[in-house]
Amino acid sequence: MFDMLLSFLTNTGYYFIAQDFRYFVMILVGCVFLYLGVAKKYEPLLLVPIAFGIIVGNVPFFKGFGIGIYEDNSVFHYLYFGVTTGVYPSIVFLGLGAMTDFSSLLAQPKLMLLGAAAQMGVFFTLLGALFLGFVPKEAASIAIIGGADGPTSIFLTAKLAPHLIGPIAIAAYSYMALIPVIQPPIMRLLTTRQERLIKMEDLREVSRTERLVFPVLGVLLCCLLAPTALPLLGMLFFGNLMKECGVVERLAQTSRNAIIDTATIFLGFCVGMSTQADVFLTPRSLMIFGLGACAFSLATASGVIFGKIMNLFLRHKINPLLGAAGVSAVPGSAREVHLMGQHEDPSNYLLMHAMACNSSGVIGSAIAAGVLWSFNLIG
Amino acid sequence: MGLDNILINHGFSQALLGISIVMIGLIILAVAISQIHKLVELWENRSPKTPPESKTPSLGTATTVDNITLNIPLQCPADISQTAALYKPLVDQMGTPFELKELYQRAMLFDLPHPHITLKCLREAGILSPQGDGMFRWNQ
Repeated sequence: MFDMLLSFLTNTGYYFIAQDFRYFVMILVGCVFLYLGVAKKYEPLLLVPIAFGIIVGNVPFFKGFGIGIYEDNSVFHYLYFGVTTGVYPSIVFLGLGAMTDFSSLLAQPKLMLLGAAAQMGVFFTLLGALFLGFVPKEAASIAIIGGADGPTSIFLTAKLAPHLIGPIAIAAYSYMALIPVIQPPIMRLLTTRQERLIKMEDLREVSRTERLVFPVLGVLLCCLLAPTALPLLGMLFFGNLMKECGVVERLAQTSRNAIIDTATIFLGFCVGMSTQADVFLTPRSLMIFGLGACAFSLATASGVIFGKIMNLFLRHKINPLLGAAGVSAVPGSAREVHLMGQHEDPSNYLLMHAMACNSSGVIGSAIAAGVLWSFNLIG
Repeated sequence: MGLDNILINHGFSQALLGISIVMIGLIILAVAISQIHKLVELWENRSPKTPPESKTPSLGTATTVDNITLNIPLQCPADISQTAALYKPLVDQMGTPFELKELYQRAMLFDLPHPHITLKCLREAGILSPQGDGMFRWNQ
């Protein structure tokens, strides 16, 4: 009986944690993220599933019995399938399209250029990652963090460097949650007070026909240029078409509620579970975090600087703060731009214009992911 | 590692080409969508069966919501209190003060028509008053 008890105790998680303290460190990391998500309300829809996934994924167990996420025939392994194949990100984009109103973008198409400019952060980070010694597929997966789009980052990483899904997803979502910390200093540094006070023109009314034509035109123009962006942009524009056509309102409602919520839960939870201690707590993960911070900062700076360059040629100036909303972090970056504008002038209402840049950032980051994927397919 | 790794893997070419493709793609899309409303106007004006869109500012866009068609004025409505009654339940859920963007998001969630213009009208009417730092209160 004593032998049985000893055998049982040496197969408990407590015993394994005592053997390897890194699991304990990761559980603490999960608890910190949970605190940030619940108490501080930093992107809770993303951080809460990821945080709990980290905690669950780092409970050590004896291998070979189909328990863990990397073991065949385990429940979590089947759920993880949606991450490794890119299914969940595509479904999230379906819901995103079904809840996005592109009217503000259609009313001011020139703001789309700010979304494009912000994607420069992706390609500068690509150079940084290659400089630090990452192979091209890994470098591309790290670079897409600069697009500030969690599902896009996970999608591309699942295709190119699935062993880095954990650190890249955590980096991407962490920095998205830290946008109120990262972006404002960069926006203040790169703009003058006069520029921050620029008021945008009122948006014109956009007809239903325009909003119906846009998703069809968007998917054709973007995906004929970069077909590898189809899984993301195809779903995004399909969701948007369902929303705008008005004849499949039930489907649109389901897409932007039940479907996206289900995909978000499984995506976040499985990504969190995949961040196991032996994969996550490495010097490479630290480099990925560092590069991720650079990517976000460069993307913000690129957008703002491009806004200032555009003003050299425009008769009606745009507020260069909007360039910071060109990153794909909807609606966090749009909110920060709006708040900064309001801080300078409470009557300056930038939110809808910033949402236009945000929307174009979503499209831009998906195109950037498609381009990076195609470079690595060809290369 | 270092510059050699970038050069061996054609890093600069990838970066330059990638930025160019993304910029060109979105420029093409921006140009295309800037022309949509002109083409739509052209199409609607040339067809005898379809009456041209009225230029009268008081007529607005028809929005169909679950088989109910609402005509939303582009100007602020004369009786703003009716419009305010639609938004009051959303405000009651949030407490005071509240973030305007949260009210906007809730209005979008409940498919209230033209929330952007409506919130602007409510601000101009003094029903929404700013408290600073993006926070607002309801005055009614």
